[in-house]
Amino acid sequence: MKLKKAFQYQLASGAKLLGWTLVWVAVAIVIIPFITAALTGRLGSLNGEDFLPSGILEIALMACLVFYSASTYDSFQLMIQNGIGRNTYFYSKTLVIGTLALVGNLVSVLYNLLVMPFNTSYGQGTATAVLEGFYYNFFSNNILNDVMSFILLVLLTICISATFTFVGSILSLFERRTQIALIIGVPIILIIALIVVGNVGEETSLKLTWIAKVLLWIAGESGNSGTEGLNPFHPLFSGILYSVILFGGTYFFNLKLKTPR
Amino acid sequence: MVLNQISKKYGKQEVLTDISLKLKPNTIYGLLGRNGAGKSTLLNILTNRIPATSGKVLIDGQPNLNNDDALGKIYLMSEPNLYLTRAKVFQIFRETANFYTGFDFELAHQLTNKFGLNESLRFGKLSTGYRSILKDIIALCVDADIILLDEPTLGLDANHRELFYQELVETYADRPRTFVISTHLIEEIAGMVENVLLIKDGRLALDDTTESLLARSYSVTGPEEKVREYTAGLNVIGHDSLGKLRSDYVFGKLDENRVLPDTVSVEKIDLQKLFINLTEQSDEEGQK
Repeated sequence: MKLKKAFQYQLASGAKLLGWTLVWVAVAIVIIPFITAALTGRLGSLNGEDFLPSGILEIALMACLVFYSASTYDSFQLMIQNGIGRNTYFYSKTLVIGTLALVGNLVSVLYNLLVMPFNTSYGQGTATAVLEGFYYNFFSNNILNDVMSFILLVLLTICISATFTFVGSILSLFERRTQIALIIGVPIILIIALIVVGNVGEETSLKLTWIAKVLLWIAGESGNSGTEGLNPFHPLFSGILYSVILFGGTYFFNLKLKTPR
Repeated sequence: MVLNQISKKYGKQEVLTDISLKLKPNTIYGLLGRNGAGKSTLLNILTNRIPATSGKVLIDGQPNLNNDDALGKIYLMSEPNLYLTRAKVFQIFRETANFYTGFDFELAHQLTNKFGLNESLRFGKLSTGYRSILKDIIALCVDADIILLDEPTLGLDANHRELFYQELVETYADRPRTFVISTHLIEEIAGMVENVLLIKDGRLALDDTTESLLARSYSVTGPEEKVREYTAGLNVIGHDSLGKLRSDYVFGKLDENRVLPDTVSVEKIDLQKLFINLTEQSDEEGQK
């Protein structure tokens, strides 16, 4: 198996994509507002936070991983052209997603710490801040709380990537026209289904209550406390299980990949 | 490389049926067949780009299914473009060298110069001809033991086609390996093909050396009646007529005991003529 070579290639293209995503996110969040402020003569109202916003790397990483995970076909074609089988393609891509999620989030956390002095509203709305808000008080040791929040952040990134990898692996089995139809049609059907389910009688409401309970358990609700006492091991195990199932499904569909006739 | 009872179905349509063959090392094969005969499908199965419905492909004794070691010994140059359209030519060379580690960069640069291919151009910006040229160059420069060329001269002008064949023969002489060339331009490759694989209606109709095939392929020409008399009972695979003159194409041994009339001549035929006559039968049968 040429896993190392495939991984190196995929990592290089993933990192390149991350770099470009970062550039575009920076353009959208920093440069365009700066130019707008300059044109409207309100440059003086800008502060350090506008140039070094916290959470920018998180956004870039997530956007990059969503796109990277969902786009299956291009890299598969290149791999099979160069004598790399579907197994190696799947393993290398999954490893790259894991690596980018880990390293990207590590860099993002460090960046957020570095720009903290310039940010009055540090971390507001970032995934790190949300996770810390939920689970920070679980352990009596703050270092353990920090480590757990970081692990959950990485896992959340992997879960989102796994979702898009799975969706991408299914879409890659269809022709372009069918892909577009599925991308547009499936969300519409899901929205309609949700509306219908939301409007039916009390029996379904009971079922929805049951689903809500499961979701709360996944979030860490133990049943005897509020959000302060959320158990981080619930999302940890649920996240791992979810990722394993979706990556397993992706592997199954990736083995069915083929080139055009 | 060994193919063991390969069959391929698309829905109910059977494209390949029970193909078994063995590719010899260091041999140039011509893979011939009419449009839709299943040549490209077969090449795609050999490189595991598509799965066979049944049967096995073994490369050095290993099955080719998702097997990097086995797949790394083959390279398929084909019409579908599997390279990233945004990648530049030199980047594609580098990517290829990442997987085929013995990629000959020196030869690649020489060939890009000879063909006039700009290495800074993006793949998506290349014309059909230059895309074929790029893929041909890679095929000649990779260190794979088996090179499969599916329509390698698609979109190439006569000069570039001649240059390509010349370079193919040179690289083959420098480093012998197995080439399988699938093309409709039979006349152009006839001189270099050592072994012919003929696919007809999804089945392997012929697998023999070019020399052996041509040694038993004849045209018998003369007055219609005399020719018919002479070829009666022989394996006549086709005929041409011009006025009262007739040529019967015979594939197989002639009857040495038969006396050849003075007005009738027997000549050898070339590979293209043999191919046309062997494969035209199915058209005629299909029309009946």
